[in-house]
Amino acid sequence: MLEAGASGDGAGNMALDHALLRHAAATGEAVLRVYRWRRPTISFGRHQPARDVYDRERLAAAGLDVVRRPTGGRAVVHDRELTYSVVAPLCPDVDRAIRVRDLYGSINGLLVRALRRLGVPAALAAGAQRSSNRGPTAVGPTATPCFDIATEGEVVALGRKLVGSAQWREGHAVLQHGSILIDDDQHRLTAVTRAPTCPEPVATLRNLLGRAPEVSEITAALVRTLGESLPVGTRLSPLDPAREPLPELEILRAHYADERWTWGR
Amino acid sequence: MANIPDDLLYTTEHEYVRFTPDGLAVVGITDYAQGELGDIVYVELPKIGTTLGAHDVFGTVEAVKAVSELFTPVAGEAVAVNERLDKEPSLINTDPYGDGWMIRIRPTASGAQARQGLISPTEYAAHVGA
Repeated sequence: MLEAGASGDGAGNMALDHALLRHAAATGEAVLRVYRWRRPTISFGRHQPARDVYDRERLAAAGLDVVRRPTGGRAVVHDRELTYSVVAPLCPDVDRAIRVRDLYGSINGLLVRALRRLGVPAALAAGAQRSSNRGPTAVGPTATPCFDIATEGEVVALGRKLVGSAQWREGHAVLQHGSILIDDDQHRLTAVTRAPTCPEPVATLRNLLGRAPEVSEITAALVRTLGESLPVGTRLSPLDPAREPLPELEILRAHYADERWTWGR
Repeated sequence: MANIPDDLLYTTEHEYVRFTPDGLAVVGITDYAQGELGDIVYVELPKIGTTLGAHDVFGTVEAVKAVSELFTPVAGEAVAVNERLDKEPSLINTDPYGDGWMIRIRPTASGAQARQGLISPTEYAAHVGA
């Protein structure tokens, strides 16, 4: 199934990803979604400290919305980028809470092939590495920006992180979503954090291609690559909200819009 | 090869349970699970005193790239949580059955009833293909 939706706000985007996760658990269908953000937005990782790290006045002055993701990891600025999400059912008992790396590798491998189709020299990172050799790696949900560190299996290009991704496993399904950088907005984190940060240089599609590809071009490459990767007989079709409503969408939207969720830690 | 101690009981969700002489159940995730998840960077556990039903989500565990739910193997009250994991979540990787324990539960039921739904080391080994 495929959902190539319009830009949503932070809470709406996270709610739709989460509702699709529950859709996957309920129906056994996997969904690829590609989307953007209505306004520039910082997403915090599920467990990342934010209340004492990010300055809400400076966020407002910088015109940055905030939302907290269901997934782990660290902060990402969503502006001149494209976000993808994949939801998939997991076999009860066997797959739950395990095989993170297998699934992560499969999805990231698909991203690499799609990006190469566009001419991007994308690859999977061999191991935890900073974008530059500047001190030790830190992998916890800290104030460190997401794109500072590429961990094993992440999508990099010319040694720098190009796609930041994370998973959330709930019930019998998994959500993986991530941000494909078209331009570098990650330095905007510096202006709104109380923690001393100096973001690493990242890889962007503009730098790698010498131009900023259209979102439709990236989406088409993803869809074509996905289509080629599916087992014979698997059907790829648009998700039809009229035919397949997402009953918990509004409840989830309220959850992700709730200050207690966003600023509770 | 994952370590599956003979003196514990397990769930198909990869939690282990150690019943102690004081009637409590010590719960954590298995060596196999920590190996599959990879480096664990954060654990969210319930407050002491929380009542947990069997199969309830009692917390979450964040590995480098994935957050997963933790499921209650034995219904009861959480009487202790491993506060060391707050600062040292990697204990789950290095010593899942020892210093990496997560919560202690006072089971609602006793005896065989408290063990209902749990599987033996042999069954767990078969489950993970060990």
